[in-house]
Amino acid sequence: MSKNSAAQVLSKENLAPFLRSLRVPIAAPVAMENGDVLFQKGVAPEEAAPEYVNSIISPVKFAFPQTQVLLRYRLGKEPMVEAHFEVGPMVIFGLRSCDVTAFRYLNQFFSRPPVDTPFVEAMQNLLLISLTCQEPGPNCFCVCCHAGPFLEEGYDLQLTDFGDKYLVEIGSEKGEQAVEGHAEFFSPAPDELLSQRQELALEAQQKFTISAHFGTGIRKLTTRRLSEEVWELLAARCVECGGCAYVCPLCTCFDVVDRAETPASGLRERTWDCCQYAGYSLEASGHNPRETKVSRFKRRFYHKLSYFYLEQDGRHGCVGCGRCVQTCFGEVDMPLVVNALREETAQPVYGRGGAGR
Amino acid sequence: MKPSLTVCGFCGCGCGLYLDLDTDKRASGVIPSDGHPVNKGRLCRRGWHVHQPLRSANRLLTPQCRREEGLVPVSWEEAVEVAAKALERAQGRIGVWGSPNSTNEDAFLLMKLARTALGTNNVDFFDRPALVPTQKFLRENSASSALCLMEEISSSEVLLIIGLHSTERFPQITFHLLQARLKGAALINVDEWYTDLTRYATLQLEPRLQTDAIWLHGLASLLSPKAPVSFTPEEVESLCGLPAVQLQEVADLLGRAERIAIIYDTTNLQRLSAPEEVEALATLVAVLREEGQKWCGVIPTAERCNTLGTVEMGVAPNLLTGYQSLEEPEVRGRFKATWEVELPAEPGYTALQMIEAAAGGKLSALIVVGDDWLPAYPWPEQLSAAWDQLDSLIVIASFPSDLTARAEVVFPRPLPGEVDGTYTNLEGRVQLLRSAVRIPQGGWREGEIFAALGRALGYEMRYESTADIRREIAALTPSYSGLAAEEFPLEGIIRNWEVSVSEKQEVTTEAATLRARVEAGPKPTEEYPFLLAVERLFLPWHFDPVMQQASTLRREFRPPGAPLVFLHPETAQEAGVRSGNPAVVRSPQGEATFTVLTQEFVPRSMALLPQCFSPLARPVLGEAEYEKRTGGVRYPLAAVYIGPTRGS
Repeated sequence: MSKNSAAQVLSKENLAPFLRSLRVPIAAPVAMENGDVLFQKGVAPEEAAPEYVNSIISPVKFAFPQTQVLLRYRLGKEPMVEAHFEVGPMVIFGLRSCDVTAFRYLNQFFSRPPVDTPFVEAMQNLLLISLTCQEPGPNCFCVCCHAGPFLEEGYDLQLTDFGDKYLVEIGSEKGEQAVEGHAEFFSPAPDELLSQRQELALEAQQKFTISAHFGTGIRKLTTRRLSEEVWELLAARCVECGGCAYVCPLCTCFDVVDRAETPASGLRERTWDCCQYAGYSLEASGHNPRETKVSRFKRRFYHKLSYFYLEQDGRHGCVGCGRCVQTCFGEVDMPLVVNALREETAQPVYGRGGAGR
Repeated sequence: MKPSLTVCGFCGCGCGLYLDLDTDKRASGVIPSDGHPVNKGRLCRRGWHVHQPLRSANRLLTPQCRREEGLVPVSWEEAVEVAAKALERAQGRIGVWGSPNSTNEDAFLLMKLARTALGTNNVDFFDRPALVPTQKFLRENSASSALCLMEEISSSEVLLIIGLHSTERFPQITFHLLQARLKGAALINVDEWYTDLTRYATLQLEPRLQTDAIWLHGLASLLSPKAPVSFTPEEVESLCGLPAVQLQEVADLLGRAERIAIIYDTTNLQRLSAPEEVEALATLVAVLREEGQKWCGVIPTAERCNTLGTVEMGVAPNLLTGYQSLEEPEVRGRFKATWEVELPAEPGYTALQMIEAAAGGKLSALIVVGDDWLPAYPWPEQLSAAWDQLDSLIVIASFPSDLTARAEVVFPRPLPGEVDGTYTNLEGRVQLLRSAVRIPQGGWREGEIFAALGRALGYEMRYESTADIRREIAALTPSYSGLAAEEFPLEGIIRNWEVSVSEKQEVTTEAATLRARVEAGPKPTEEYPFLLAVERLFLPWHFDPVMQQASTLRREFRPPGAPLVFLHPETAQEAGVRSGNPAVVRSPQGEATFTVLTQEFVPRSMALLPQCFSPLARPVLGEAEYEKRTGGVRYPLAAVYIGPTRGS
């Protein structure tokens, strides 16, 4: 599809009527009184807070929630087991470029056999209407990850703010259908707006304060250049909270729990899991192949950064959303570790307390 | 439909979070608050799973009463009636055992129920003694204003950390420690364990266990000639095993710094656990602040979400709210005017005394809120005797347990996330929590149970809302007067310490007493080369009834399958024992067998015994000692031999 030929203009006053005319539940960022921004489902278009940096938890949770019931069972004369996950059409409005990229990555991951039906079906029912980022936040580094601040593909519709109107780029058939079905709200975008959009994208790229040198980091990690001692210093700053995996929109691990709700009925649900937890890799025999914290810490970055996974998944495992930067107690987040890999050193924050032990 | 901002119900940090709800309106996930002053988007392993216990199918949902056939479900009203009758029968021979996981409002109503309708000061909770020495000595030495906020750690130049074995237990403290280190602060870590904090430290001090009073007084002596108890660096070296040069190095660091933060773990059983040790710390703080003209902030940890608030709501046998002394007629008079009932003036039983009294037939009814303390109880035989002797045990708990199985009446207890109210975090920050999900099946909040019991006993306690209760707390408690505010501020209310400062007290401990105590302690010999020490290990996490209902946390923190003793791998090798195998632990007094678990964090010359297994080590260690000044427990140390069991 030729993107530019299809680009449209949507006036801001037509945004809410357009979203409403789609006649499906809307998920959008909602601002709380203390400044927190959360993605919520079932919000009215007017409640959405598009003037925000990013949400605390990525909207990928709408296709891969922290807890999701997968099936229910009943015992007795007519025992029953049935799949039980809800899938229905939904619009996600206002998500950022990093999260659009994350959705595409997860869809590719979960579509590989064995196909993860709950995710893939949820994804098929989503319409992603993203907002480009003209003012990246202090934790953002999508520009280092080919995941923003403006995207060339991956979205259904991509909106760029031009004061009283949005430039609407169409990135998929779903997006095209949404626009064509409600043509009354749109008008073709003039070429001038498209060239302004290119300028805005270039300007936004200059505004990032965090830089993470993924290329060098990936090369040094794959060739195992970082000494064990540096890994140990970095891992010592990890408190094993698991926040990095829980906020990461590309992390896909989950645990499966079966639970009897009554003696004769119950359910199976999955729940986010984290490779930094010791119990995650604990085997039934009691053996744990990643018993030490440093081995788990290394594992996380090998998975996200080594060539092996890069080849398998088509990209490295980070979209630069910056959520791990916010949530990590020890600040051993993705950009810090990538830069430690590049420099082959941990920041010198350690004294001689451990010496001689 | 915006979600409600609430506060985590695990540790005393008090992190802000939201609960995500699924289509059935059940909690299905956790969202940390970026804008919250305590956590700013960070949550620990426990905080990320606050929703899981709320999904548990094992909840107690209906009240139960004991009949001939056992415990049977009854209505809330009937349970109240049965409990009230039992309390009436007890005729004042009643104990009231609170919980550090209750909200301030619920703790206040429990305390009020005890002192009005039940007419007793036998009201306490298991974790209180860990906290009281801190509050008492810091206040009495005019150092109460030294209690500081966690974020103030970040801007300190010297950090003195005492007995904090873990970076995960109070991770918001860890965050600020690291921030300070990144800015170049010196970190002095006083711990014999080898942990991540050892890696962060500029200096690790390993004074012998149970000698903290001496080196702290010694440090104060180096900093000021006016220090009340004097020890020279050489004396400190010989009594504490802390090299004189190290003590001097610490004194130099503290002497040069303008801003000092002191953090210590109130639940450490071996460091700053005795009142004279906390008194020595308060002395050091006073010397630094008064003589040295320094900014010196202190953070004592609080294990549970509302440990501090529960003490400060007067769940204590000798204190009313905000540490107001029960023994002062003026204070009692003020409460009498509001409550319209004469308060008993004599201090009641402490938590441990209540169990002893019940076991000895001196109490006939006991109300117990929460059962997370059971595995830490040092005298299990006494507990069983108490349950046998009691006429009525009334238990308020979220999940079935050994305790609910012994009860006469069981009331279901709501979980964090389901209740409105406030917690006071370890900084003294009173934070509003809003119910994010409903209590299942129309259950009552704790305060409603207490109010109903009061009513049934003829004492009216009527409140329209939790704000109504807060107004009463504010009116009766100078340090909590801010709670009367109409709008609860987003950053919480830091309860005011200054108003509760009493007269400065002279330090009464004498150097000779401290010296004698240390000299009487066990000394490892060739025959008994290792020091056996009781530690909190596994507690409270691996036995926490709420955590064990969270599938992820249950996997991460499994209770141990056998009684364990922790050794360093090299110690195990030296002793000829292997991880996973049984070993004999023998002192001059006697011996016991434990399974060895080797871990790198264990000090080389020591064997660490988890507190939950300490009753099994009595032949080796002797009895735990009741600490009269605080109502807590002192665990003895022992020099031990460790070797393979006979025949292995």
